[in-house]
Amino acid sequence: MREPSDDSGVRRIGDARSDPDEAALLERVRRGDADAFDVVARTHAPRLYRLALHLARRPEDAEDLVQETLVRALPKLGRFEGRARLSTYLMRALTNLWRNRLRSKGRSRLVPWPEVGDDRQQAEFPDPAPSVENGLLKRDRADDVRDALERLEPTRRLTILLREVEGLSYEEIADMTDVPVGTVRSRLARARDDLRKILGGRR
Amino acid sequence: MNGNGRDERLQDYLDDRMTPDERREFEGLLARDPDLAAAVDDARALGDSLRALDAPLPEGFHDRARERFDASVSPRRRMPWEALGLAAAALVLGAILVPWAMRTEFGESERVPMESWELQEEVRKAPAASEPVDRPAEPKLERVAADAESGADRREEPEDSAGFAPVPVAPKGAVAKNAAAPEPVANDADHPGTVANERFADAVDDEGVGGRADRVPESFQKSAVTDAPRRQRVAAPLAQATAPAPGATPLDADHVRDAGATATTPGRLPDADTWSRWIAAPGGDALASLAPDGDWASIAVIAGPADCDRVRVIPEPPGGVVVYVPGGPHAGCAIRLPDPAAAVQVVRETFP
Repeated sequence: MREPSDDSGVRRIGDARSDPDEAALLERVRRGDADAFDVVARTHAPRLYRLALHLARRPEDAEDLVQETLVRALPKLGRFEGRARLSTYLMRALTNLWRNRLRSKGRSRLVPWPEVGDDRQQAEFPDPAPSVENGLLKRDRADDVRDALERLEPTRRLTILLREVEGLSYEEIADMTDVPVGTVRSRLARARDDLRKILGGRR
Repeated sequence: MNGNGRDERLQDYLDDRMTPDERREFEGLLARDPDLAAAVDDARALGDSLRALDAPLPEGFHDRARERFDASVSPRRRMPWEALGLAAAALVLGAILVPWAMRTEFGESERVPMESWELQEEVRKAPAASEPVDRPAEPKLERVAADAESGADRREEPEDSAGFAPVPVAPKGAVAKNAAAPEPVANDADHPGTVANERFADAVDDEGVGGRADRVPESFQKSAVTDAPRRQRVAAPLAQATAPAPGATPLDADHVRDAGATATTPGRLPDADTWSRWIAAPGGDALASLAPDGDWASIAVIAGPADCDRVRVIPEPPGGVVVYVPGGPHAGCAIRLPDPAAAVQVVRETFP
C-alpha cells in the first residue's frame, strides 16, 4: 500500500506526527469513552453520511452504514497504527462495508449491473423525466442528478463520488477501492459518460 | 480532436493530470474548438452539481450513534479483575469440556491437531469423510498460491467484473440449504447493530485502511502460505485458544471470550447438549436456537462481533457462513457449515 510521503502534509494517526488532540481523542474512544466518540463522530459523520447516502440511497441504510463504520472502525485505530488521514481511513471503512453488503445481496456479483440505456436499467431505474408529476412539479437539477447517480453501476458511482465530491486523487481512489489507477480512470470516464447520457449533456 | 483520445484528454484536463505543456496545448485547442469547450463546461457543471447535493444528517443521528457505541463497548468496560476472572473460567472450561466433548461425541481420531499453517494446509488437503455430490472444488488457495508463484497481479481485473474479486459461489444445493436454514441475524436495517455474513469485511479489521475488503479470504490464505512469518500472523485453533499457541498473543481482556471449540464434524451433528458444551459459556443455551437443523452443522464461538471477522474455517466451505449472533453475554460467532460431514478446522486469527 502506498503511503503518503513525509512531506505530503498528510496528517497521520497514532504517531508523533499526529494531532495530539486527535490522538488523545482516539485513545479515549479506544477505551470506550462515549463523549470522545461523540466528538469524533460529529466531526466525520456529515461527510461520511453524504457519501453513504449516495451509495446506499436509502437514508436508513446510509445512517446504518455510517454508524456501523464509526462504531466498528474507531476503536480499532489503536492497531491501525496510523497510515493515512482519519477521514480517509473512515471513508475506506465505509466503502468496504458498503461493498460487502452489496455483495452479500448478490447484486453486483451475480447480476451484472445493466448499462445505461439497457432495458433492464430502464426497468429498474426508470427515467423520471417524462412522468406526469414531473411535468406538473418541475424537478430541480439536484433531483435529476440524484436519479442519475442511482442509475450508475455501483463501482462507477463510488468512483465518481470519491473524485468529484470527496476530491480524492486517482491514487487515493485506487488505494481505497483496491484497483489500479488505470481502472479508476476508466471508471471515471464511464461514469461521466453515463451521467452525461442520462442528464443529456453535450459531447 | 475526436473520439477516445479527446475524451481521455478532456478527463485528464478536468482532473488536472496533465503536464504544464499538455495543459497549455489543450487550452489552445479549447480556444479553437467550441464543442470541446462546451464539453468541458458540461463536465465541470456536472461536478458542481454532484458537490451541491446536500445530505443533512437525520435528526437524532448522533444520539443513536452514541447509543450504539455504548452498546458495542460495554464488554470492554469490564474491570480488569472481571476479565481475569473470565479468562480463568475460560481456561478451566476449555481445558476440561472441549477435549471431553470432542472425545465423547466424535471420537479422538477425528481431531486434527493444528500447530502451524503447514498442518492446517494438510487438513485442507485431506479428503473429507464424505464429499457432497454438488460440492465444488475449492480452488482458491491453489489459485492464489499459483498467482503468487507466477507473479500474476490479481489487481488487474477487468473493470467489467464490477471491481470485485471473485467470491465463491455456493452450488445450487448449498444455496437452497442456505436459504432454507433460519438466519440468526439479518443484515439489514432491522438489525442495525448486527454483523451478518460479513466475513469478507475487513473494513474494520486490524489493518483498517490497509485491508482489502473484497479479498480478505484470499489474501488471508495467501498470507498464511507465503507471508506468515513476516506478518507474524498466528492462527490458533480455537480449542487451544485458552492456552496461546506458540508465538500467539497472550490472552487479554478482548480475547477471554474466545472460549470456543475446534470443530470437526465427522458425519454427525452435535446434539443440544454438545452444542451447549461447545459454546462453553454459562447460559450458553442462548445459542441453542442455532443448534443444527437439517443437514447443517453449526458451531458457536464466544467472541465479540469484531472477532467474527477473524474467525476462519479451513478449508473454507462453500456456503459456510460466519455470523455474529447478538445476545448479551451469550453473543458469539456462529459458524454454519453446509456439509456436516466435512472435517474442518476453525481458527482465530490473532495479531501478535
